[in-house]
Amino acid sequence: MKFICSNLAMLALVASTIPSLAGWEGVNPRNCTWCHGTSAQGYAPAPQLAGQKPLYMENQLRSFRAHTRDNPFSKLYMWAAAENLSFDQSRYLVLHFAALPSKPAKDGNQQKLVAGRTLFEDGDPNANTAACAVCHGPDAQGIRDIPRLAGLSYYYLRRKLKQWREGYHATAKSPMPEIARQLSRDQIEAVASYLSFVK
Amino acid sequence: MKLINMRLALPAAVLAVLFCAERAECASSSLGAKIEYCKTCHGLSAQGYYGFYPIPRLAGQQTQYTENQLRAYSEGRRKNRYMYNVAHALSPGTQAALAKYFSGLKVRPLSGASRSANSEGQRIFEDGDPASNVPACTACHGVEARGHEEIPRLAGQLPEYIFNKLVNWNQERGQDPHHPDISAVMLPTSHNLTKSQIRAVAAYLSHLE
Amino acid sequence: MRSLLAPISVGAIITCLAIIAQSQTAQALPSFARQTGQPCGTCHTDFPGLTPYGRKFKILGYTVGGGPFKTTPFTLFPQVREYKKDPLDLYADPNAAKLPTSADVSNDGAGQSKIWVPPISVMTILGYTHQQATPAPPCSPYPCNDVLTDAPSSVFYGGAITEHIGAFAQVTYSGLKVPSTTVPIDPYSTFQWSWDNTDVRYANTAHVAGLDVIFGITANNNPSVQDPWNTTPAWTFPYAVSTAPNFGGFGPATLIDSSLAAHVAGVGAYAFINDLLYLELTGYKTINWNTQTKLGVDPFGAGVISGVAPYWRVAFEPHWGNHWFEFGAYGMSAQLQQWDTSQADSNGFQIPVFIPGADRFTDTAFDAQYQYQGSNYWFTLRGTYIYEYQQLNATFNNPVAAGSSNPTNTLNTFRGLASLAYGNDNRFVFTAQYFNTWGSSDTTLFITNPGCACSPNTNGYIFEIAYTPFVSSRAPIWPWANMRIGLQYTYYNEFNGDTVFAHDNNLLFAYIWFAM
Repeated sequence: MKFICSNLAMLALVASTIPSLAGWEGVNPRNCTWCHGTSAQGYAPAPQLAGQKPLYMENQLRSFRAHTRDNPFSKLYMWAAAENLSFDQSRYLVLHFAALPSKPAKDGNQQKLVAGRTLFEDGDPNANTAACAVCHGPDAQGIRDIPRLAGLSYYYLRRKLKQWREGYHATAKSPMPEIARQLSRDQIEAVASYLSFVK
Repeated sequence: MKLINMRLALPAAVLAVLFCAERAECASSSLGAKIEYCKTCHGLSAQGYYGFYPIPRLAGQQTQYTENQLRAYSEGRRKNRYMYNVAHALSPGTQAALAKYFSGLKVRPLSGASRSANSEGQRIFEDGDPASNVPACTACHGVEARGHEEIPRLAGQLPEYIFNKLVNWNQERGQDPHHPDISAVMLPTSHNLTKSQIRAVAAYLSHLE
Repeated sequence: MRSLLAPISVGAIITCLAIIAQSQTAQALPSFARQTGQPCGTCHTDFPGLTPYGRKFKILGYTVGGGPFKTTPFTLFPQVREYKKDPLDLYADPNAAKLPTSADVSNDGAGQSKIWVPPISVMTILGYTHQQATPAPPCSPYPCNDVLTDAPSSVFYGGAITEHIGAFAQVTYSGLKVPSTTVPIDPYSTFQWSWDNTDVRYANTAHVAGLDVIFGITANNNPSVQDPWNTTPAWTFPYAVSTAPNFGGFGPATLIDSSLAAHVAGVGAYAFINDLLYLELTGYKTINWNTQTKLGVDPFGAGVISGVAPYWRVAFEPHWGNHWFEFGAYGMSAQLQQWDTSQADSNGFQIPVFIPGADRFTDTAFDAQYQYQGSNYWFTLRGTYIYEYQQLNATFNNPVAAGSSNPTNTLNTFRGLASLAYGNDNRFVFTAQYFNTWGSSDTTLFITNPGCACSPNTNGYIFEIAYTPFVSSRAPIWPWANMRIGLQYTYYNEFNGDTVFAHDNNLLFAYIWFAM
């Protein structure tokens, strides 16, 4: 009896592990966090995903799939990453990351914080630069499809603004490339520095 | 981002003065540059934009009203941190020119144009709510909600914007007790309408062209 | 072949080990590209050298997915079917822009249902080797110079097995059969297939004291094969080397420099803390004699570890912006029982008998790496220095004939390289490396001719230009195929203690390395 039981148990154990060779592949956030940081806080060129606005992230994944967002790192990494995500998998992932707690990168230039804050909150009316806070929120928290900027890496924000000035594209309806074109290098470094410290 | 569609909207003679194809071409004080600056937030066609805050439509707005608001912002009678910064840096002549420019723009409402019956909103707009001492809005704002002189156009305005303004009326307007202004006229109405009524009216207005 | 070794000293064996040590092969696998969906250039700079993302992939146990196929045979992750309604209020905003639905998405259905394909890859290297001075015969069956080779060829299993367990396992066909000149046939000259670099890992993540930790267990067969920085011996430049029979190699190798590759099995634990600090401790034992022969490995190719030999590794990798800077240390200590090469059977083939006692090898090494990622290129600097202290208690005191002239010897290896991988789509890689091995002179171990300096000293430069056509774009027909066309030149200043004729060993190696 014991012999039969133990063998049945073994059989059950083995049977439960028989691979299903075809079928639904779930979506594992680790497919994103290996580049975006184990807790999604960002890792070098890859930006923070934790606490980011989900509709914004969904739009970005769609624009990667459509190859709209075309800067070199997007092309090398994100086009492939988004290619195999279905609509529902994208939505699952963005909701997962949106709910994670975020930590500010704090890697900006500390000398430029005041200038960056002024630019972010008040803009520069004489230079016709709008205040970023009008769209991105007073704490850079973002809303709907407008991204949270608070705590993103200085290097990432600076690179995006510079790339838009160079002619790379954002998502289809984004006003950011035009806005970035009117910013000076100093302004870019100041606002990116400031934002990296915002909690 | 070239304003190709806008170029069709105005006569060629005006284009040369008003439009800078690339920002770098314009002096930052030029009217063209200022128009682009407004459009950064208010939308490419000044139809309004949902940023963190709902940013109102300027297209087709009454010239006098727009001018009055810009002056109210820079004088501190209307309180808005961002518009204070903007208006403060504009000369009265520029303010007038901008107001005139935006009044001439035509664009579909951001919420989409539809005349599908929104009975409660339409009813309040056209008949008011006598029980709450709310007059018919059409009396001042016009049947088409396009306003007149210093009374603003409401047609096609962002509904969330209308809602926020009415609900917060006395926190934002008439902020200088020594210099009361025409904004006081809306105070009782903003007070007497319930929030759901405001929502209904705002929704109705947002689809008007 | 073994019967000829009877009078030859341990020194020759060490030299042979050096040759084996240099036949390092691929670390880049098309099956990884299939599994992640990423192009080769995501993880590789100076192919197959790794980018920081490649290092993360390896540390995470080769288990990351995201590609068009199921990552593992098992379906273990949450099954996302469809969202009829937003599960969270995050989207519930009265002013929300019109939310996209499935109908809005043109590529919907991609990745909904996937099949699992075993992560098998194959590779082969076609090579042409030209040596500055034609080596002296015998070279048969190959020409003495201008040798064409089609080795090594390998089959790999590379990828996830379960969500947390993955493997890199290589089996190599050496192809270059040196026919036995004796009858009956020497059993150790007939190995064609042998197991090669193998690393099976379990990896998981945790959040401890506010720090992200990736931790895992590795089971592998070559000290430092599990290391993700290409400064340690198992996976370092040059990745493709000539397999022509008369290629002299880069000098004697320290123990940790792949001398034990495939002869040992080790199990260890590691942790990568906050993407910053890497710690590892692994213990190795020599594989049972019979098992080695079944795996296609010549068990006489290395001494046998007594007990367990520890291998340790510390690496610190601060990074900011597009810069990564790593510096670390690693090492190993092993007590080896050495084979008595004078013991042979009636056919003259070596039988497994040890000389009395054991040698002790203690390796201590330091390494450093700098990487910079431009928008269109990677620039890498790497360096490593290995110091080995050899206590030749067995070899020196070998009662048959002393295997060394000193009871202790030291051996040092330094490698420093600079590499530029240029172009995101079609990547050209320029690499220059300086290598230097030096150590104690030993008139028994390193005898080359009477009156020699008898030192292991070998140093020189290697220059390589390589072109990989499918770095971020995909190959036609078979998207995961890739190849590397390379031209490599090795210049010797000194070779096995000799500077006069060192240049004779200068080598031009041209290769096409296919993988799919």
